[in-house]
Order: sequence, then C-alpha cells, then structure tokens
Amino acid sequence: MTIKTKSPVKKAAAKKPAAKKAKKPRATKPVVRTAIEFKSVSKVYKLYKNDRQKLAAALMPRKKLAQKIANDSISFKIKHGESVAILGKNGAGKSTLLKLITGVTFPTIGDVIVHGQVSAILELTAGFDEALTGRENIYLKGMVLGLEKSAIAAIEKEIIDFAELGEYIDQPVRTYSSGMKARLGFAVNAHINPDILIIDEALSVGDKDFRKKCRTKIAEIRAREHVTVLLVTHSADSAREFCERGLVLAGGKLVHDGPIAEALEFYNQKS
Amino acid sequence: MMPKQTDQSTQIFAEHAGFWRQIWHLAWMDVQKSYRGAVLGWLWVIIRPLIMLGFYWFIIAVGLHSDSAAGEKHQYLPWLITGLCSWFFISDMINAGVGAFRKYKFLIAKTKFPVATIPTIVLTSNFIVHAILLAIVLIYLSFTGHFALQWLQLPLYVGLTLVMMWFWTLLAAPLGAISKDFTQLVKSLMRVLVWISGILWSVHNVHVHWLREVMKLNPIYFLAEGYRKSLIDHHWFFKDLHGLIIFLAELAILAAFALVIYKRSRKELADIL
Repeated sequence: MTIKTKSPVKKAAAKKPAAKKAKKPRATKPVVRTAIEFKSVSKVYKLYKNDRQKLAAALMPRKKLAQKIANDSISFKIKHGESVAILGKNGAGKSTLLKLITGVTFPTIGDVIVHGQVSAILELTAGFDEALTGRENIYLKGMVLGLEKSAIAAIEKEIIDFAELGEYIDQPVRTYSSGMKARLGFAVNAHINPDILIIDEALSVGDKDFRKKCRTKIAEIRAREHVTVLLVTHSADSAREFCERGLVLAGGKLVHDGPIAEALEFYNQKS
Repeated sequence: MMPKQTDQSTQIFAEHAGFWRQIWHLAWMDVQKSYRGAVLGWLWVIIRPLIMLGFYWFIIAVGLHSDSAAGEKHQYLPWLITGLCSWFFISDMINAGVGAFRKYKFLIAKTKFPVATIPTIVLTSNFIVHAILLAIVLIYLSFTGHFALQWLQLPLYVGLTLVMMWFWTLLAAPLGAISKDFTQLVKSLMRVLVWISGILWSVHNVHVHWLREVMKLNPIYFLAEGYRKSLIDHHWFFKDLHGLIIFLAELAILAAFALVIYKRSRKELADIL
C-alpha cells in the first residue's frame, strides 16, 4: 500500500551505483525502464453521508461505510517513451487512474510505481492560486514541481506567449475567463519538460487555432526521447494521432490493453 | 530499493527535505497576498493589532477603571502589549491551523504535494507577521526602559510557541478539512480563550485557589507569561521549571495526538477535500 515515486534528483543519485554494478558480469538483466507500473491496484472511495460520518471514520478507521470501487485490481506497465490512450465511458475510472498516477490520491490496495516527473493536465487549472497573478502562478507551479527560479525565468516568456495572455498575465487568475485559465494551464504544463505528460480532455480547450497549437506542442513533446504521454480522450482521431497503445476501462476494470487500433475497435464495439 | 512500508512520521521530515525553498516561497506569497491590493498594504500588520489593543485597553483600563487588571506590580499598558503580542500570533495560528488544508486544497486535491509541509508554510507566513510585530514591541519596550538581560531568553518562548503551533496545525488542519463543525467550534472558542488565558487580566486576580491553578495549566497562558517574564518581569525561566515541565508534557500530548490524527487522515485528504 505504498506509492513509490522517484524524483529525477533521486534517480540521478540512484543511477550511479547501478552503473557501477552494470560493469560486473552479474548484471544480466536488460535495462527496460518502466515509467508507470500498477500492481493489482484497487481504489475504493468511501461515501460519506455527512461530516459526522467523515469525522467518525477518521477517528475510527474500521468503521464501515458505503463504498464505491473506482478502480478494481488494475495491473499494467507503461515503458518510458510510450504514448498510451486511456479510453472509457464516464465513470469507468479514468480520472481515478490518473489521480493515482499523479500521486494526488493513494491506492486502497496494491502498488503504484511511478518513475520520473509527472506533469498532469488533468484539470487545466489544477494547482492555481486564484488570488495570485498569472505570472506568480507560473512561478508557484514551477517551484512546486521543483524547478529553480532561473529555470522558470527561462521559460516564463515562452509560457506567456503560448498562452496568449498578453497584459493579463499580471492580473489575478480569479479575473480570468475559463478559456484563459485553461490556456495558461496548458502552457505551463507543456513547458516544464515533464518525463510523463498526462492530458485529460485538454485538447478541447480554446478556439480552433489554439487547439491546433496544442496538438503541435503535444506532438513536439512526444517526439522527445523518453517522454511518456498518457491521453484521456473520447476522440478516436486524437487517440490514433498521438498514441500507439490503448487501455480500455469499463466499470473500474481494465478490460483491454493493446495496440491503439485494436483498443479503439474494442472500445467502439462495447459502446 | 526503497523500503516497502515507510513510516508516516518519518515521511513528515522526508517531505520537508529539498522543499525548503518552496516552503519559503509559498509562505512569502501568502503574506504578500494578504496585504496586497489594500491601499495601506503592509501597514495593516500594525493597524489591526493597534485597533484591538486600543479596544481592550479602553474597555479594561478606562471603561472598567480596573488599574490592577495586570496585578499590583504591573503597569497595565506594557503588560497588555506584551501579552497581546504573543496572543495575536497564537490566535492567528489557531485559526489558520484549522483552515490550513482547506486553504491549500488547490494543491492537495489537484496536484501531488508534500502535505506535511503545509503546517510549516502556514506557520512561516504567520511568523513573518509576528516577527514584525515583536520587533515593534521590543522597540517600544526598550524606549520605555524595560530592557534587561532576561530578554535573551525570549527566543526560548518564541521557539516553544512555534513548536506548539506547528503541532496544533498538524492536528487541527486534518480535523478542519474533515469536519466543518470542528472549524466552527474552534472559531467560537477563540472568543472565550482571550478572556481566560490571562491575556487581558492577570490570573492572579482570581481568588479561588484551585481555579487559579487550573487556569495556569493553560499552555497559552504559559507562553504569554513567558513573553512577559522575559520582557517586562525579568524572571529567568529556570526559576519556574515546574511550569515549563507541565507545558512540555502538554506539548508532548498534543504532538502525539497530532501525529496519530495526521497519520490516519493523510491518505484520505485528497479524497475528502
């Protein structure tokens, strides 16, 4: 029941002894780097009727409550550099799966292992402080993800240009329209050079021109070596365009895992 | 390989490691946010306490004409100012502590975030304000001739306040996130606390022996008295080890509760918020 996340810093530190070991004849295993691994992961949400039940449950964890199984013993491995589409109807467990990968929430049973810096465009505005300006939020998000101030300063202009916010960048985010927030969210997440990029329905942001720009950006990130892309979408076109593999979820279970064409076919037949 | 099951209490420290820069940034942004936009800006750090001070002083010293509110030995105003300086920090932290996880919901529920650092962020941001206020109080007291060697022990009481408020936040933030009733309860109690913690009038004015002794057990009283002992009474802390030991015992109980509650609720927080 643990989440193991290796930050890039730790990875670098861990690499050294591994490299030394590799010289020895003992190390015969080929190095296939896994980005994300789920080991029979289940996520059960407790359904609280009111605050009192919540409080009681926190103080007495054994108390029984109504439950909702959002993810049901899911196992899979995603290698570095893979692009995977996650398909499924509303309520199939996609969002929970993504939350588990990003480490926002924890599995009830099983292990989630993630290697690398995850950038999630889950809800595009996730992690924004509405009272701060757009520019301050760029720094906030960059800092939280572990970037140095200088590194953020280096990409600041690029982000602002991409988001097309102009002078609004120095206004509080609470004054932004939802489109502006979404553009800023996409711009920040796409520019921080993540190892794993998660995109949840983000391709439907903004007008046609902006959507095109987003697609180009995602293609550009994908072209980089070792960047893993997870795409949640209902659009077969997007899935085909960006992904080579598809996971199909239904009722919290992983019902299909295979090449994207097969996965799409499976998904379409079911629905 | 990493250990299979990492202990939650050690994770609290692990989550801080390598995150100090972010903690400082978030705390600083928080302070700036509170005072930005207001025309008077940073002056509010002083204006707000001044208004409260003026109110309490007027009610008790002028209105009730009670010159001995601070006890026989004390001038009321410096005594009140020193106690209120401690109280403002404690009361701000009690309130901020309960709301800490709700306030940072946008980070806890939407991003992967080292949650154990949030008490530290909240504490830092409130301490910035307290440090400014304390500096002003020190200047005032030195000009009114209160300086003495015992001022050197002030960091002890500031430190004890910080530790206690940190554990308070670790305890109250999950409970506040889980239960709105708890938040309301704490907010209601705050109104009472200022009157019973020996901030506005000295507990030595209570003539019922047992009641006075019970009131002295209040850790808030101990901390405010600590400020007063250091700054205006000039009593060395080791002259009253009895009180210190009781306080440390209370702190240990608070810490134990805080760790248990935090540990139990940590993994649920993102789902609850």
